[in-house]
Amino acid sequence: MGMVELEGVTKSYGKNRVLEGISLSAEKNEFLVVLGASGEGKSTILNIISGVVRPDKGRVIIDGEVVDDSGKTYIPPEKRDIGYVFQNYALYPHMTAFDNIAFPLRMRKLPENEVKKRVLEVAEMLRISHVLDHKPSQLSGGQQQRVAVARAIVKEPKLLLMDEPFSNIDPALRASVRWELKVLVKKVGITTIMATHDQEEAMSLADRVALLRKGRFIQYDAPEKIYEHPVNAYVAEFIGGMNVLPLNDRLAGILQEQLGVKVSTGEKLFGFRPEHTAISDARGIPVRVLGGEFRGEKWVYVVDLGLDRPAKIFSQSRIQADTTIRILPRRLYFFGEDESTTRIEEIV
Amino acid sequence: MASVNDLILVVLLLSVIVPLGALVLISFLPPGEYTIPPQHPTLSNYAYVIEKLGFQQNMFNTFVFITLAVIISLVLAIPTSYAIARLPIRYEVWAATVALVILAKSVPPGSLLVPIYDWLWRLKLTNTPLGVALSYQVYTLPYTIWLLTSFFLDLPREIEVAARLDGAGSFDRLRHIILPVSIPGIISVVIMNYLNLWNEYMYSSVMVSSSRLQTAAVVLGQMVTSEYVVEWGIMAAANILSIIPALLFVTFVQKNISKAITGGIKG
Repeated sequence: MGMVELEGVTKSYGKNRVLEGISLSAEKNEFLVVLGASGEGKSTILNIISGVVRPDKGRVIIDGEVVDDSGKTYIPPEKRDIGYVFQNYALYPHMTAFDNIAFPLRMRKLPENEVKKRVLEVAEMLRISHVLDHKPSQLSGGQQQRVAVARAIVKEPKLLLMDEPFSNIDPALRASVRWELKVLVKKVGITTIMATHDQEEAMSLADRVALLRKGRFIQYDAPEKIYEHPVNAYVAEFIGGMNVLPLNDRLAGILQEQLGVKVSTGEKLFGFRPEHTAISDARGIPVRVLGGEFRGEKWVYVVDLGLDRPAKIFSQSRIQADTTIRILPRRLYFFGEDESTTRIEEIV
Repeated sequence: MASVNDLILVVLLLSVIVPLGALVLISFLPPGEYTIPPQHPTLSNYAYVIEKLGFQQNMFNTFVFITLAVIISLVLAIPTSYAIARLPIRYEVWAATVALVILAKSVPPGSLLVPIYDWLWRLKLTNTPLGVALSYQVYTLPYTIWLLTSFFLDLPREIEVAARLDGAGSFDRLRHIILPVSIPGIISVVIMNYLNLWNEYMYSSVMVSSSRLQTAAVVLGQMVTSEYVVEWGIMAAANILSIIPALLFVTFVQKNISKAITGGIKG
């Protein structure tokens, strides 16, 4: 049994069905990321786990205890022992950073010397000891986020929930803040569920990613598994930005002739990843280079395969625009009528 | 060249300054003299108002009654407003509650005068500070609920959710989060109540018959309506005295008023 279990959770707002019977299980000390575009119901999932929102149907179990069961059982948020980091941090504006972090401990009626000890400890860990006497309005965005994280973990909750915790962080700092948070969470050893719309963030942090679309989890697996074996074209495109292109007879002919891959009937789309694509002198798919940009470690080129949408490829060297080259994908994905993945072909 | 806006501003300013200036000048007129500016300015009017009439006692009464009324209003309105702003009740019930508050706010205060007097009389509360303060609730309570509700509605909900998740029950949330964060709103409602009630006449005159408990506004009113000769100099002096606390008050809290209006909440 996992630390957190959702079983058949359904939620509608009016006529708008947000969650269609989702199930989810997070192991103890696992870092789980709920990934989905905005408006897909990520926050609703976190709110249902925290108890702020009640599901229409389904069960929520935290650490073996049923905290919500289709309206029968209901344990309110203040009794669920959950740490929560809000997107806008939701720090108490009238309290200093110290009092913000101390608040959950004081609500537990811990003796003041114990409160002080634990606040200082967690502040040390998050490197905010020097701003503990500041009010939130006097803190930088990054410091506010640390205070929010400190407040969430200081009571050593069973579960840490984070709703887009990096969206208000300066993009230049995001990667390092992300890294620090991951290290911290693993060090403290706490089951974490984070919601984000940023696939890169999800990939870099998660032990497992739950990909949410149209109220359902369409794939729930380790990031590298999702990257390698996307269940459908949407996942392939969303995770890692695969080129997903329509298959026509001309292209099917080229694939068979050049790469020796036979297209079966019923396969409507094919795809390949920019990073899996080499520029070849001999065999390969002929493409026209539309243009590109220099990214430092690589060039990113947009190429035209004669289809209604272009593809992206990476290159280590400059390629003249408006020339025709051949590209050789090392791995090809095929998708059927319903866009689900039919097969993956390695090109040797 | 002065624009139309400037002209309007000047007219507005003059319409305030001219009567006020006249009042100041009149207050220095010795009895029997009716020339402005005064030929023989004197402070005797002020001396009379303070020494003979004991007007400072009436001003103090006003202050006490209002303070009491404001405290009662806050004690009742804070939980009420918080409930209106936050209780998860059906929309129809909520709308009906708000409609009642608006209704109470728009009832002409005079229409409640008789029932309230009757009620206070039965409770033996007429002629007491508490009675006057209770009668003032006609003005202060709907207004306070109204203002605090809109203030509570504007508070970011996340910090309350955060407090819940931090283990705070509803009373702890009100005490540790909502109230401290709402101080600008509470200050503004207190200020507005003081300013609104400082000149209150109707209830102050009806609920109190003993001259010891009369408010400043009632004494001023009686100076005009008394059957004796109207002593303009004395009346002006008393008026000036009664303006001073309000003036000082506004000057003192001006920063808070603007703070309350712009809302001092920042994440």
